Amino acid sequence: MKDDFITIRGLKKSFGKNEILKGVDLDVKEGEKVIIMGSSGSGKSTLLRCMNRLETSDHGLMFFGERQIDLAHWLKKDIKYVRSNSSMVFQGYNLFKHMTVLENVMEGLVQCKGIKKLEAKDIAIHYLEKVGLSERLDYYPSALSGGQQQRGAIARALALQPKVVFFDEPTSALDPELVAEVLNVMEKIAEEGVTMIVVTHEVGFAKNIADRVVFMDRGYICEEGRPDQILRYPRNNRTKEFLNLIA
Amino acid sequence: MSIFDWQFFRGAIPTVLKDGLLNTLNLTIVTFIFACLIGLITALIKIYKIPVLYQISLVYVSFFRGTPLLVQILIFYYGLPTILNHYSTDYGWNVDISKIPPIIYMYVVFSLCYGAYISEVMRSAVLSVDKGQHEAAYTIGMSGPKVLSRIVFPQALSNALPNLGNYFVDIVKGTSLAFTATVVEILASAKIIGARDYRYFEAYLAAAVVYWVVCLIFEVLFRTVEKRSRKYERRPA
Repeated sequence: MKDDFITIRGLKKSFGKNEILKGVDLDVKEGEKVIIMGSSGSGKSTLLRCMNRLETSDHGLMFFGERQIDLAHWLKKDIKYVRSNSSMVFQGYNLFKHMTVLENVMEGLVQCKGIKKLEAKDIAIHYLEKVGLSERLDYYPSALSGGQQQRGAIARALALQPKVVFFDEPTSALDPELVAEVLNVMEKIAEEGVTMIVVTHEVGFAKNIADRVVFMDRGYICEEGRPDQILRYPRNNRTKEFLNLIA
Repeated sequence: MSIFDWQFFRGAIPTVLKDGLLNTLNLTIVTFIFACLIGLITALIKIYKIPVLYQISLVYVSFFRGTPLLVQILIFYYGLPTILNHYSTDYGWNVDISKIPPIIYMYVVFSLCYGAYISEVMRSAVLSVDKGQHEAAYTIGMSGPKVLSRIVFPQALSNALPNLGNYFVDIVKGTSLAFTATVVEILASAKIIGARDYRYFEAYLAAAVVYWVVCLIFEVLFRTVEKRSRKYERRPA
């Protein structure tokens, strides 16, 4: 594996008086699959959202590829750089409601990458086949199940060929029987080398794909390590409690 | 003289259509287009709280919603030419204010008035678009203006359509006030032919029928457009 692609130092973030992130350091190598776990309110999602500037931060430094970014004072060109080299899969799917699945995947290619429509369509179809939606190209999100919508959202995120994809609890809103189809797709794309940072509670998934599991508790990273170690022999008490709860 | 002259009534309808309909439609459509533009811009100013413009927009909306349209018409029709005339001679613009047709003043005052109302429709429509839609658009690398034009506005518009349809019908009826500024629209043309034979009742009733039919047609039109714009909310057959 190569050098660190993302390095975060001293990330702090408060919502009003409520301090969510109290000084987070995180290193992610290119191609690495990092799973972030932790109880709700521990700051997992906020950490992801601070990385692509969906949330502003109060303090912190991030190296993203070649760039050094002051997380408390993002420059416009840095926001653009990070967002055009990353993409995100949301808990609530967030497919564009007024576009078909195909149009959803094409949108970023055409509007942001400046790719010609015909070519974008080919690329979009390729990725939609990969997530098993080639028979639903012309469906609107409202006509699809949650699992199908989330697979469409994954195709949309991947088609842009980002360096890193953020997954923010991608299966938490799904019915239990639909979780597997989304996890299968994610395992499949994990094999292809894109850097993935995933907030999830799916232990089995973490065991299968993670290079590293990071546990968060009350605004700090309390423990991290290889999944076979950390999931079986956690050292931190909070990690133990949490793993007992979701096991 | 009979209470109701059917023949006059039947004859009044085509006359009203011929003399007044065009101006009514003209004023309605121009007003609607500009009111939507003004409304959208005002709504965005309010949503993004743009300094100075925000305060101006508050006063603007408050004034035009807080005073009767008829009063606004009289102010613009009698006040504006006086002011224009004053400055035209002062600065030597060399424009003959009296040559400006009254309907131009009506375009302005109607657009401003309905723009104030429609700004609230636009504001709630833009705010009704889910935050997740904005966020998803940002994460695929879209710039702010593109997020608005490609993602937010199309969804906001279909949310706004029922209310916009209401205001459209409201504007159709509101244009009847333009006769006070000598614009010959449906009501004015009815008044004119009514005065010819002292058949006001028949003439006004003819005007009412024409208004009603026009409104019905546009209601159907808006319903069709609304249905089409919401096609993404239905499951395909």
